[in-house]
Amino acid sequence: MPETVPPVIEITDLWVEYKTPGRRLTAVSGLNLSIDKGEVVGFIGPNGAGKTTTIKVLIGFLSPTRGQVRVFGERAGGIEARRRMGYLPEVALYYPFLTAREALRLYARLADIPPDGREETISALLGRVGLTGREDESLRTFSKGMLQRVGIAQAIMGAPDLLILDEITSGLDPVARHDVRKLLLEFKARGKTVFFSSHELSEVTLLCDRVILIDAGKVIEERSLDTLMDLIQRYVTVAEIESLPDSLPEGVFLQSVQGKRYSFVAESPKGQTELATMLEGLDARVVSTGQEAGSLEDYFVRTIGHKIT
Amino acid sequence: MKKSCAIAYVTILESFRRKDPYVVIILGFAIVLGAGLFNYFGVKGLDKFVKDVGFTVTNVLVIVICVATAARQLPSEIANRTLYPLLAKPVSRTAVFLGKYLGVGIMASAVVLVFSVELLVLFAVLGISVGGVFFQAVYLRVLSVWFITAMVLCLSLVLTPGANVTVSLLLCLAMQTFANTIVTVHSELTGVSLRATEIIYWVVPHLELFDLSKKVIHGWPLVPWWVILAMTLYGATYSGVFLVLGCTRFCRIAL
Repeated sequence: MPETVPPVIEITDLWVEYKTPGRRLTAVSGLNLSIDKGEVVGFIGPNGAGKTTTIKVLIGFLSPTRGQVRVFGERAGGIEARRRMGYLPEVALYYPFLTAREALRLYARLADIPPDGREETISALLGRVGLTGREDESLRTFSKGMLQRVGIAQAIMGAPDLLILDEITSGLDPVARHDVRKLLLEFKARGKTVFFSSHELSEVTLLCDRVILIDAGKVIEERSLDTLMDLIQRYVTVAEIESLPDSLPEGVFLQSVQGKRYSFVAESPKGQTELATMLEGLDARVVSTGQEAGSLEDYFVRTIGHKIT
Repeated sequence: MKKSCAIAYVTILESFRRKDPYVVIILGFAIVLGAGLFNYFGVKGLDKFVKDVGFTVTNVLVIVICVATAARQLPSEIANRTLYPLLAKPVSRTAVFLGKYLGVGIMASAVVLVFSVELLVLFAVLGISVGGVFFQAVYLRVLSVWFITAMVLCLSLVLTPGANVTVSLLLCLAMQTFANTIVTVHSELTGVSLRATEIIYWVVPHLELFDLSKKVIHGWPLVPWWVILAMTLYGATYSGVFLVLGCTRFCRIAL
């Protein structure tokens, strides 16, 4: 009988409540999710959805009010779980009085990187994140983007089995974003697991196997990227009609007008079919039909808006 | 322990790169040097004055830098989020807390030792002699900064840095002086007041016990070694209490 490998991250009925004077604030309410080895999972949601709170519980900065959280089968936040993970916080400062090399030396000692070869490891990491030549400058002089690179270097130090990234490309220029994506794809190719939150939905489409959408502390949707891309497909119909009809079928929108040529977008094949029927009744001339990739942002906004009401 | 030492090293580095100890050492030296210059006016008996100034300056400035450094360690790490990448590594919060304690303690001890060397050099230049009790005084002052560091680190988890500095300095002043006051008024008290003062006397740490400056100033002989040992155990016990309280609190706070 083959041995089952436990999920890398397993969250069961997670509740996190903050006690403030006079009231109790629920940041995460009954969250369930599971991430297997080798997956790259995007964790997206609006501000205040509970993404960072969930990540903090995974690292051990917060204790759950209720529920169970396990990383590599161990209690989340335990030393052994943290030994196998790398973490890049959304906003972090690194000691401004240290140089980049000294900061990485500190993190290497804390991560139990053996002394033999430690300096070479640090030099290689600094090169990988594009900080060669700046390693002996004080972090006080570093820009936000450069500090983020230091953060990435300390997160990938020791080749962790799990990378947890909170807002992965925040503060990075386009070249650095490209380098980070390349790095994460290399991680993925080596069978490592990546769990990241991001507001940049383009990162989601470029990197993820699966997307988890969270809002108000709950998982709203969880889909593979392929399924999600199918869902956000849009169906375009261009037709020539005398004038715009008074109403359009549900899920159909006017995209553009050029003289008598109207371009319509339907969210589903059903909507496109209903539009075609309506245009036939108006003696319209259909110029072309086709598909285009929709906006993940529109889907995101529509889904969250729908669920809130 | 290795990880605590790594954190201690960074804590010491921060202190010296901020130049706080340098300012204190130079200021202290300037004040004592100024006092020493009075010796050249030919007034007899000023050697005690110079010793008094030297020890007072040392005691005050060491306590100030110890309190100010310890008070900002953990609150600034939490506020600046420098604690996040640190605690994401396989290091316990206990190791971080102990590392901070070691770092501040070593830094403050180094300041005490530098002041002591300054005083010895100055006394030698001015022809002022000191006995072996001088070195006992230095040892007990070093012991006291470890206790003060533990107390301030513990308080830093419940008070803001500013409030902690104020409260800690007031506590140090109170712990230095309350014992003599209680002894003076004890016979006049009755009932609840008497019990309360007795409890305070026996529970609150006596910081004045770590101050041998009067013995150095007046040329007293060496303090018996069993007393020094007892003081070491006394200081270690109170330091331990504050360390346990502080560490317990630190391990529970949400970041």
